[in-house]
Amino acid sequence: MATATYTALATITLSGNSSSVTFSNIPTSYRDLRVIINGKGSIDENVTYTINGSTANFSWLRISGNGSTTVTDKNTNNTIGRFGTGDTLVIVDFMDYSATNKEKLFLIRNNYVGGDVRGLAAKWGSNSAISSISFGIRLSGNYLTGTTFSLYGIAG
Amino acid sequence: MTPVYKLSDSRSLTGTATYYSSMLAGNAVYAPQSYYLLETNVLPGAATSVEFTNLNTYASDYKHLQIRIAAGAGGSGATNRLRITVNSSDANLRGHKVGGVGSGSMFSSTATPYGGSMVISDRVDVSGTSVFIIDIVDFGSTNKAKVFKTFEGCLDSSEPFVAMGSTLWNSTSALTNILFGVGNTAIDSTGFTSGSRFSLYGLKA
Repeated sequence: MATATYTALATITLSGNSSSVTFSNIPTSYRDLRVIINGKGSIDENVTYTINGSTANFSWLRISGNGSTTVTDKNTNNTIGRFGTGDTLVIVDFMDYSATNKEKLFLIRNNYVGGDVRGLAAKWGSNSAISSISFGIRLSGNYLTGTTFSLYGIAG
Repeated sequence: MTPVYKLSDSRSLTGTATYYSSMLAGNAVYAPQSYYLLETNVLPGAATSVEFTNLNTYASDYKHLQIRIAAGAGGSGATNRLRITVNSSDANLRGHKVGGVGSGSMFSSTATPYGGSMVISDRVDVSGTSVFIIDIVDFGSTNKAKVFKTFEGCLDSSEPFVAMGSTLWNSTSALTNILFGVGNTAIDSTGFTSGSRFSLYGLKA
């Protein structure tokens, strides 16, 4: 029997500039999560991820192009993707986020005006279920007023 | 005929209630859902392949399909390619991909069938999990070819990989089944590990 899913769990629209946004108390009753971030930043910098209060055990891999140059690189830090001073869209799919027997893989589509388009694969190297996710901007950047953060739960 | 009145609260008709002539008045707007989980398969043990069948039976209710996969593979190294057949055949399949391994240059590649199936991804992780999101647009159409959009990633410490791909099934036939397997030159016994998960979703128009 088909199960309606893609459930809106939380939406945050900034009424003022903010250095970070957190989704907490995320229920474990879904299979995947999708986060959609749409807005602008005060500086053109990397997005920082904090999961369950931890900035450790991250790794990521990127492909990107800006119209003249392509890049593929990787690292083991929590600064993943980019948020720009122009309109930016970030879509993050956390797969099997509630599993307690595997590390957490997530896919990121990252588009920002005046910058580039990116596809990233990332991992949080913990078997813990994800219960909170915080998004910041590196080097004390802020998400600007009006930026929206939407969290969806997807059954599976 | 005497009309039926829906009262806003429990009081008599002579009170100062708000009267409605429709039983629907005052109800919250009904917003039908459009994204449905249709099937999910979490492997209880290792399996050589996973197949979604009778997909044509969903065409009357859904416009597009999405398949989400979080899977590991048996075996080792770069031979663990994710391969597919459509309607039990490798006929009429073509693919393109852009991707990277985190060093050197990005790559772009094409895929054509061989060994009875076609590669849709170059890497299913052997030491952890690879993830795939596959969108099949207008899957039920019988007057156009079908396009699969893929986004995938693997953070295997020795063979990391991220890619975006496009697969064409150049057929106007109804899509009935998709089979996923693993292998370098053909789907072989490498298979998927226990706990690998394959979920099918339908999206309404």
